[in-house]
Amino acid sequence: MGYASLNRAVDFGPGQALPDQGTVLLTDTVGSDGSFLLHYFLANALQPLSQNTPTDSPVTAVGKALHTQLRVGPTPEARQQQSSGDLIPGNGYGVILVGLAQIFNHYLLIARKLGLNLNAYRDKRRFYFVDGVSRISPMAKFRKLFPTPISNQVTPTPTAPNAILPPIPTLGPDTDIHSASHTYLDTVFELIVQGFAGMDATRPCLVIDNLSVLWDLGLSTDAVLAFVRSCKLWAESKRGVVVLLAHADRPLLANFQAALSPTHQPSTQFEYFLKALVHLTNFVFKVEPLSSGNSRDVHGQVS
Amino acid sequence: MSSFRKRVPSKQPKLPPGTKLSPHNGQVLVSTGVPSLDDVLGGGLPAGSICLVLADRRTGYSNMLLNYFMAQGLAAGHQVHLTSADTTPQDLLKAIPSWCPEVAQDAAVLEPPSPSPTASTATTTTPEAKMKIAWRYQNLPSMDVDHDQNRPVGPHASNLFCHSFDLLRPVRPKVLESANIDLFDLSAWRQHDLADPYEALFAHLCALIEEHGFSSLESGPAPAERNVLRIAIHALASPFWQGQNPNACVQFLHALKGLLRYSFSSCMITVPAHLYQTDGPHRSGFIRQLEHMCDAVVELESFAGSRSARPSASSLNCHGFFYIHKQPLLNSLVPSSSKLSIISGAQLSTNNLAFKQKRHKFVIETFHLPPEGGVNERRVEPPAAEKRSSERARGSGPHAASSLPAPLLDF
Repeated sequence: MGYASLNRAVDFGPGQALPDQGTVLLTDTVGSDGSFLLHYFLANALQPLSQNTPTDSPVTAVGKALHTQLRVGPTPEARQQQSSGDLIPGNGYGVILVGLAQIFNHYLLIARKLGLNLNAYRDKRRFYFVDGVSRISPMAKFRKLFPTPISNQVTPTPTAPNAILPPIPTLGPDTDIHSASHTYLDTVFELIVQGFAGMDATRPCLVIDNLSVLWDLGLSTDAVLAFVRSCKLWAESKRGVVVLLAHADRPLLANFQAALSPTHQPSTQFEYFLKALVHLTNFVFKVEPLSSGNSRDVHGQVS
Repeated sequence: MSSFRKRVPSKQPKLPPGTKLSPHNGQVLVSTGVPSLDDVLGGGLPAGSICLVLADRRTGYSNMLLNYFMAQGLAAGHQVHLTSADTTPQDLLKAIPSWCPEVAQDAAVLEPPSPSPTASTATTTTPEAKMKIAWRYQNLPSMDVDHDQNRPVGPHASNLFCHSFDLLRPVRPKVLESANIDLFDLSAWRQHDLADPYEALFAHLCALIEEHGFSSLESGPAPAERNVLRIAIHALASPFWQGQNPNACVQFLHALKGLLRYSFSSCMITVPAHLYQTDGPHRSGFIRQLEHMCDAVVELESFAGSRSARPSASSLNCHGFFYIHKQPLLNSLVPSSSKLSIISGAQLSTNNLAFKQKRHKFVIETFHLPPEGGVNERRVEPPAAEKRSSERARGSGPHAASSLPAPLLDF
């Protein structure tokens, strides 16, 4: 599962589609969306164990039916390569996807096109989705209707998230941004750990799409970095993987915040944030448009 | 497999009026009112998405896009919401172009999409002009066949997906009175200095969506009986939007995305991006943050307001460049326009587009210089750059046809 050429280019070890443990940072720009790499890791983390599961289980059957229907549909980008058949059996991850950029429906449908039924994995307690779109913005307090987490539903809808991130507290001018963001992200981390505790896997694979949103929404840089660090330590203690996506457009890296905001602090600069991320992570994948022209390519840089 | 949102479990969902399913991935699409923009975006704007228009400098072409967006909403009977902090929304409404309601619709519905374009030329001027949109690319001979097959202006079921509008005639006041228009005047709101303008607007939109049955989270009527809400926000983040919180705009967009994803609505926002432009060709990080929050990002750069000296620009037969920075990517990895788009598909490169305001309509087309270039430098520069870029695009992988930042042809 995944992209065959990428599997060859990114050599994580014999038969490994994921690094044994460690943290992966994906950076992308507006012109070049890096989420395909996210799905690559998602698929790689979920797929190996599925090859060991008995094929006659009803859940898999449902998944297969869906796949066949899909092949009929106009989905030319569906990649059905079974390239990583030699994966080490039994190194299945419990994948926690924190979707800060899109709702679950989005990931579900893309994964379907890639030949992966996230709902089936969720039923097997191998996949856990945390919705970070619906409630997280401080302004979402005006909403009355929210998607219900799947645990609270009487008849589960397939597109319901497992959990929803609570709203970020409104950061007024007199509140301490640092402590507020630290407290908030601690609860997020707790939620992730709890989510993993209910899963049927020993190794976590935490995927965050995308980390820049946390920063954009006004959480302090230190707090986000501390959050990433605690995620990393937690995952590595369980031989797991953390995959982060962050935007790295050149204008974002410029020192714009100083000019814009009156309450500017030296540590809120995005460049510092990104450099610290690069420092924290073991692998960095840079997705950027070709500098030479109207096309794009992937630059995988293993550092 | 339909990727129509979860609230419609039935196999063949009937759609709200004025929408259609994307042939690429089955999303519900809403027209922007400009057929060529629909085409470039891959058929239209997906329901639940936000389209950001980076406005041109000193000229009003982005307002025109917004007007088209609202006019299409009025024509299709959608509910329209308009917010502005710069001027009163009522003034903006007056500039909405009118459409040819019955005649054009009847002509289009009664006649099957005929292979010959002249056959459907009715007595009114509007169908003629509509055909012109389709056939103005006939100098690209290989495109002709495709063009007829998936012409974006085709009638869908009993209602038109995209009407044709006449820029010369503003919409009649009677139509405005009877239409479902919701105005939110932030300039008046500001005087009460109650809250952050972004918060105020978001609270308003929440109430609008949740109380008028646009939300898909509550079990409402069947989708066919639902209406579509069009949210038009004029000049977001202009100096008149004075938030207390520097992150308020981004928080607003993120919250709006969460709201719209579960609703029958789509949103078009214009942003005076040039106000945030720092030195050099690159946009400031703030605009980039906004771009990341939105689903589709297009940019208009008019020749008249361009900072770079363009002495010969007026002799070109278009009014500015049109850039697509981001394609709507809901529920898919590959933008649907890479498969469906006619205008950009011909060139395999999305960033050689120009827009043109004709007397009656606004068109986006592939940019090319007139065959008889006058001055030397004009004749040499742009075609060379264009050719290079399209060649590169051809040589690249499956993701090649998607959007990119401007290749800086013009600096």
